Amino acid sequence: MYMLEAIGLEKTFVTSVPRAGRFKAVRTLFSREKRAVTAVKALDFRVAPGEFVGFIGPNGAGKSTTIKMLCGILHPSAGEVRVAGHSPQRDRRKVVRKIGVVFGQRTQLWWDLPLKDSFDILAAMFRLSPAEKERQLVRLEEVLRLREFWDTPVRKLSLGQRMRGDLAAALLHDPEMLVLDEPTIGMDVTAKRQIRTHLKLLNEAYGKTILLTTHDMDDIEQLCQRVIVISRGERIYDGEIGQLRERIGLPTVIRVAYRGDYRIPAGAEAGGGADVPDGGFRIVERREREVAVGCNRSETGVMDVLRQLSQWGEVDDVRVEEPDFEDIIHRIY
Amino acid sequence: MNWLGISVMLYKINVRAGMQYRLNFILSTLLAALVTVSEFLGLVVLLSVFGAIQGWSVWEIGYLYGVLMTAKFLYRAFGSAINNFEPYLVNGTLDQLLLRPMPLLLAVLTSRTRMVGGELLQSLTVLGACVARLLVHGDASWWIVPETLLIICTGTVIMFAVGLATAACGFWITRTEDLSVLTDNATTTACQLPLSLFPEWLRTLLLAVIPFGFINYVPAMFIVRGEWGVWTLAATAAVAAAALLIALGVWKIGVTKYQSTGT
Repeated sequence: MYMLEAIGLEKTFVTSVPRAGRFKAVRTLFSREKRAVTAVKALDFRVAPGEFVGFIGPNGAGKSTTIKMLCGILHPSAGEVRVAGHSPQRDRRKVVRKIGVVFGQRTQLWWDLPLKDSFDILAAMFRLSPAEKERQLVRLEEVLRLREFWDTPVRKLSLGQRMRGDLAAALLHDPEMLVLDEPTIGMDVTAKRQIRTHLKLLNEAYGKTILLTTHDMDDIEQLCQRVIVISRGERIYDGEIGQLRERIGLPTVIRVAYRGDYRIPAGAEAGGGADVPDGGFRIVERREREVAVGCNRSETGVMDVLRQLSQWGEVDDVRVEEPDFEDIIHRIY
Repeated sequence: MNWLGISVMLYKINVRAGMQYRLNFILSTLLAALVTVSEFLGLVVLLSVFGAIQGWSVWEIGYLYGVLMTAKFLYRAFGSAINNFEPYLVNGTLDQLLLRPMPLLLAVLTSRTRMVGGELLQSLTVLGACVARLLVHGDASWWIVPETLLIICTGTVIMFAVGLATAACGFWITRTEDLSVLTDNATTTACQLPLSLFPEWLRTLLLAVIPFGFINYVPAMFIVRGEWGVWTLAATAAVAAAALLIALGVWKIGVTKYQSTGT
């Protein structure tokens, strides 16, 4: 049986069309004109137990909407979700026992109370016996190291600590699947690395199925075996991460600042976006003493590009940028 | 632990969390007490000037007030979240509650607690004084005590049902604060006085649409005035049950329309 199935999943939001002009608030309120916005369109996918799946796409692509339908928060306009065979809409309470959910921008911990109190409350809600609760906490301690801030009120925890607390809270009832919506958002590099280590361990050592949305390419590359990419509510890629990388290549932008003037060879003068003949790269941006070029590192090496650029003038400074993963996804599809 | 035990635990936790901000807690308690006391004093002044209104004595109107306010603050004590439901929809707080393995309405109710001890004490004092007076003067029999307890229960249910239906409207219109001023605050103020004072349309509204008239006026016509028959109690209970069922129905449909918030 699949851990998670989405079958023809759709969500349409209906909003009133805002009116302009005088009394616009009142007129919008009574306006009959509605606009339907389709956030998720005929989405199909299946996740087997034990998989670690990245769910990615640009802002507004429908990731959060999909996740919320998977957890039973939103009701689909059409189609169906099954979590371990149950519909989150019809059997919400059964499903929330099987999944642990973390929204990176919110916390389900009790803000004003010491962290440990949240676990007492959750244990009571999920009807864990004291022995079960203790056993879970010992296991979670191994992975997430909570004791050091056990007695601190949640509002005083750092972002990384709070996320560890939230992960533990989502795992307390020993769910089969974890659903994480941007768990590393706003974290510094160290905290991100820690969270990733924890997630890897949960997947590999404890066999949890994990579905993760993120804007962080490193999260995806280091954790997920499989990625599902959605854009404008539709699935545009579902497969192994390696194949996605081949499709995207390794786009890189190289910025070179020149000490004085520089001269662009004939043929590439056309300006923005022009390919440099036989160079294997293209000019992205031109300024007075700076030029930015883009290349695909799987085709052209950075050193090759630099060698050519150094012939254009006297190089002062070089910066190599890897553009946002999201931008690339956006551009490619 | 059963759901009742868990609910009690959650209410206790809300109180404990609220106590973390002690000054805020003391100030808001004092302010709330001040508001209810001054509201009541206004009514007292009004009545002391007029003496009696359309045959209703000061004590009978005090009884209406006492029942209404006791029901109101009982509802506010456990239904504070429903009474202030807008933020749950606007901030998407409801998301978290939907992830708890509890019936949703119970999760919502237990997510917020308002301390109403002072207000409740004041309402009960007014109610007790009026009932005592009516008993001493022989205007009522001892039956008034169980009957009053009954209508406090049905009144609380009616308050809750109207609050729940108003909150559930939020699933369609999101902003419900102004609506609840209309369905809750305005109607409560109106029902402090006998309904017979009001024009026909308002009376119909308070009996048929927002049935706050059944919290105090209708049963009081039997309990303290003795003008209507014992059927009023049955009708009151029936209205409370019907209001609750309708409100739960609207809530249930509303939940499927929940839109959450973007991130």
